[in-house]
Amino acid sequence: MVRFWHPVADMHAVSATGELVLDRAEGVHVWDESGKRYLDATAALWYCNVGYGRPEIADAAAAQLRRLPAYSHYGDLSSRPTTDLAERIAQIAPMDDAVVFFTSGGGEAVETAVKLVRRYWSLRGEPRRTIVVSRERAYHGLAGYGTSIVGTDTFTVGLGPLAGDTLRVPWDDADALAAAIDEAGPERVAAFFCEPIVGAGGVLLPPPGYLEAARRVCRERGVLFVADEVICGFGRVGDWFASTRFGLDPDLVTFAKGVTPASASRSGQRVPGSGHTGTRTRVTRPRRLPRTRTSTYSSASPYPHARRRSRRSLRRRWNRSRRIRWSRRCARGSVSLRRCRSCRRRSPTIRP
Amino acid sequence: MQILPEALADDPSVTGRVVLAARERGILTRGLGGGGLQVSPALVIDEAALGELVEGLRGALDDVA
Repeated sequence: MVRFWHPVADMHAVSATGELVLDRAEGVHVWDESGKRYLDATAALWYCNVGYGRPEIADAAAAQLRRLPAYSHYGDLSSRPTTDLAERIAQIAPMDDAVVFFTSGGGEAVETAVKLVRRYWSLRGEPRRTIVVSRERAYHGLAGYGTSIVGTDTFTVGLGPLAGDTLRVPWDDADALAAAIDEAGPERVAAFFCEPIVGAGGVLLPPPGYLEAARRVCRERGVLFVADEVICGFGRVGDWFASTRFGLDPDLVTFAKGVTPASASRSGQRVPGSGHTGTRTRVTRPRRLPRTRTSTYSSASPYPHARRRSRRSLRRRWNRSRRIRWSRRCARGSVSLRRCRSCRRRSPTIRP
Repeated sequence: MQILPEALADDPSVTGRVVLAARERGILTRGLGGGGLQVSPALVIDEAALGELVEGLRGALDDVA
């Protein structure tokens, strides 16, 4: 009897054949307990873009575990790695003026994204915009909302009713997307969730012009465009994000792999315009960010943030002079950047 | 990498068999929806390892053919 219940597995088959227990890894290779070496063609399910065994990442993680391993980030609480990482990710985000919400993995990122887009429309005075459109063959994680918008029946068999107000459209037809939104009524549709390149559904490259057309369909109907870049993000498609490569100008981006272990630590969404979803051409920003009701520790824990800072080697790319001018006080890490009047005076991009 | 639809129609289990054959040859991959095989190594992979990957997958396909 195998006591470890594996995710996405036929456990009868696993029990019959036994587990493949991995032991260590270096670069692009992993070794099992018998010492056999494998070339890992998957980067451990797409996440390990920088390869295994990076001492700078291990050192950063160990140092942060000793210094401050984890804490709730409710209210005004933060930690230096968390605050700094959000600033750094905002610099490479495929939209201007991004803010970052951290979660525990890609599935939770999608979960939070669905709640954010619905809450957004509620705050904008259009609470009937609750329908979320996704594509056949799409994969958006296996949490509640993610399972409800997944495009493969395999993941929904035998679960009974899922979350309502969802629509599925063909993965490669922007006209079908337009027709589905029009039939439902654009005033009812909150957002279109779209993997720029369908990942787990078979690595399906978008037909030429599809993404641009789908983006246009959403913009014309006032539907938010959510790029699910859990797989594509952080270099997998050549740019930091597929949204940049395809010029998508998304309203919201979900990400995880490449910057975190797939589900063991952090990921997040990037929301444009002071954290509000909405295209910049038509948006009247809510005066405040909606209060998010999400899991307690998901946006917290400086330890994985420290590891990610190191993982992506963004230090070299971090051009402080471009957006943020640190005061000496903040450079020493003695106060929060936003709370530092000196920094705010010097940096027009920092808001209290 | 995509298994041909004809091969999938002949034997729906072919993707899984290629995955196991690749594992025997020292390549760790997995099947995706629609008969795909995941090939997404770490971005730091070098020429030699790329050759190892291609040869391993080619051999696995031959083993199952």
